[in-house]
Amino acid sequence: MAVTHLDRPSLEYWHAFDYCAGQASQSKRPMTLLASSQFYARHFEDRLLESDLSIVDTTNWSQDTQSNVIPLVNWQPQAGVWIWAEPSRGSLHTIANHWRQIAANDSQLLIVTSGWLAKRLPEWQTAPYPTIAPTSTNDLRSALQPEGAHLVAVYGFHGPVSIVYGVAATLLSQRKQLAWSDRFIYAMRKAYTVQGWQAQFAPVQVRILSKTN
Amino acid sequence: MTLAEQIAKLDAWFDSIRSDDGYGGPVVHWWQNSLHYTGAGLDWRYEGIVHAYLNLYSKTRSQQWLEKAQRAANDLVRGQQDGGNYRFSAFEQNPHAAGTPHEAAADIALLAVAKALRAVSLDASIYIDTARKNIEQYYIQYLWNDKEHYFQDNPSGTNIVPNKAATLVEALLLLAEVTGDDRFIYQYAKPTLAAIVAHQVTDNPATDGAIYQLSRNGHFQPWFFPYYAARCVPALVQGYQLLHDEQLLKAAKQAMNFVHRHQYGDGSYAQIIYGPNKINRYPQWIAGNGDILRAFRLLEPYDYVTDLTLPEQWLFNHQHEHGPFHTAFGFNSQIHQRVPQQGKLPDLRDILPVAGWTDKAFLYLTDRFDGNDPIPAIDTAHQTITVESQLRGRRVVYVENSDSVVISFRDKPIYHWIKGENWADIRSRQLIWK
Repeated sequence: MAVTHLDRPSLEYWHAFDYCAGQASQSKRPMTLLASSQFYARHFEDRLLESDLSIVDTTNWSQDTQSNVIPLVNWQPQAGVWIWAEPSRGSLHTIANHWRQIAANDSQLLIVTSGWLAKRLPEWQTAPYPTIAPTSTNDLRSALQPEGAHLVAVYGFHGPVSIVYGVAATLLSQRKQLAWSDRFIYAMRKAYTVQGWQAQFAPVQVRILSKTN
Repeated sequence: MTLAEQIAKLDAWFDSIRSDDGYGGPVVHWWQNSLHYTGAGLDWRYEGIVHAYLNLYSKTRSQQWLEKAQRAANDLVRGQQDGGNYRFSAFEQNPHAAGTPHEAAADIALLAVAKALRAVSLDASIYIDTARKNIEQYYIQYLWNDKEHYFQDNPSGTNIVPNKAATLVEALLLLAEVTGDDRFIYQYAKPTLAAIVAHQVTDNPATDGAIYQLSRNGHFQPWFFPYYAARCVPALVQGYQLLHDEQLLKAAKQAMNFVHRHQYGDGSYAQIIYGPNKINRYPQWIAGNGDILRAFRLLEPYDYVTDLTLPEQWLFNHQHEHGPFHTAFGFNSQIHQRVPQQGKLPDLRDILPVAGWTDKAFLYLTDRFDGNDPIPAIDTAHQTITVESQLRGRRVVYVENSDSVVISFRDKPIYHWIKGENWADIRSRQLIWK
């Protein structure tokens, strides 16, 4: 599932994938990718090629592919770092329960989610989409947080300020003001990663949860 | 410091950033940064690293330099994917494959090693086969535009980026030389050179000699980078040497006239020119200027001599104590383009050593090296360098030793790369920045 020029993700997902790969790699522990689509599996497999990575199919996307992807029903959860990209309604509570039972204290769960603005990204223009039946933030919170987990951080990629700069850059480019357009592009990049209220409006988010007793 | 000492430090630093897969480290660029992914990048860094080692070998005849060039070429051989692409070959866009001009630059490195090995009657077939596979199965199969007769920058458009096409022309000419297959010259390199020349400005005094950064569907984008104009020159000169087409040499000279016109009094160059009085000067390259200097020197045999004293000083004065060069000056001004205030700390991205920029300085220094002084042995095992800089206006401290790179804010590490690891540990939103 090598990633080529044709497969590069949009910048929003790119940030999220690199962040999760970087974080997960620090633990030196086995990694589990809970992937709701081949899109996620492909990009994380390429990033974590040399890691001890198990890929679990959470939505039956892999049934027609010849790969070593584990269907959710056959999965034997193991401790380590989990990347959940991304939760869908059908398997939300199953996976949340597994994590609460299996995860060691202080272990991290990295969750990639697509917000409503993600629908504008190229990945959402044609099927198969990054996920089907995505969960709401409230459902995710209620499934994970009441027992044994707390939210460490939420990062959003391409927050509102960044989006405004990006739109300005596009408009300036259309008016042939390339020098100014480039400046706004880099203002956009600088403001790209957000936390707090801005993260809720970003097209792609990463939530970091930690297991606590 | 003598040139030999400067080179010795560079060699020691490049050794320190190697893993079993190749040369790694974070990347900053005008276009984008790759701070998370720090594993081997099988990209244009190999062009400079391999040629630098081959320069040292040819000038000293010491076997160790040929072995280091071959070791680097082996990284590329091992990193080739089934389809001919190299893993992690996109430099600032890593960790992706199919980077342009990076895979062509890697091919140049492979073919240069092949030539050096053949010259001493050693088997070079694996390096030729690897480069050929990349060129045939990726560039020719996916990027050759048979209608327009040039190489596109990606398979899904009709855009051409002249400096990237020029790097590929260099690889094609080398491949033709080592295989004896003229098809690579006449079917592919020659028309691509013509397409590059067609992107040169000849009718506007402000940008005369500049080369359009790209065109899409025949629409030329008025981005003129002095650095990328210089990157076109080796292919134009080599094309001239082979084809004796005066137009190619003239284009190379005009391109460097444009570069020279955008040199500042301190020996630096502007980043990008859009038209009369429309310049984004910052960030100004430092390590990468090795490519500009090399382009000027390539033209010296053709009655084109420029005083390089100031540009050389600009480069040479920015070598870190442990070997690598500063990447740039004025990254902090990339958005507002105001002149950086004197006495203020440099931007972190300015001082960050990057393999794929420092290789260009390494290549230039070894070009200039006459081979008379011995390259001293440098022990960097216990050396730690500390550089103060700023990140988004806040003071941060960059610390590098043979094992790691750590960036701290108020004594707390916010970035930690253990050399050899594929991913850095980023603990601050401020550095989640592409």
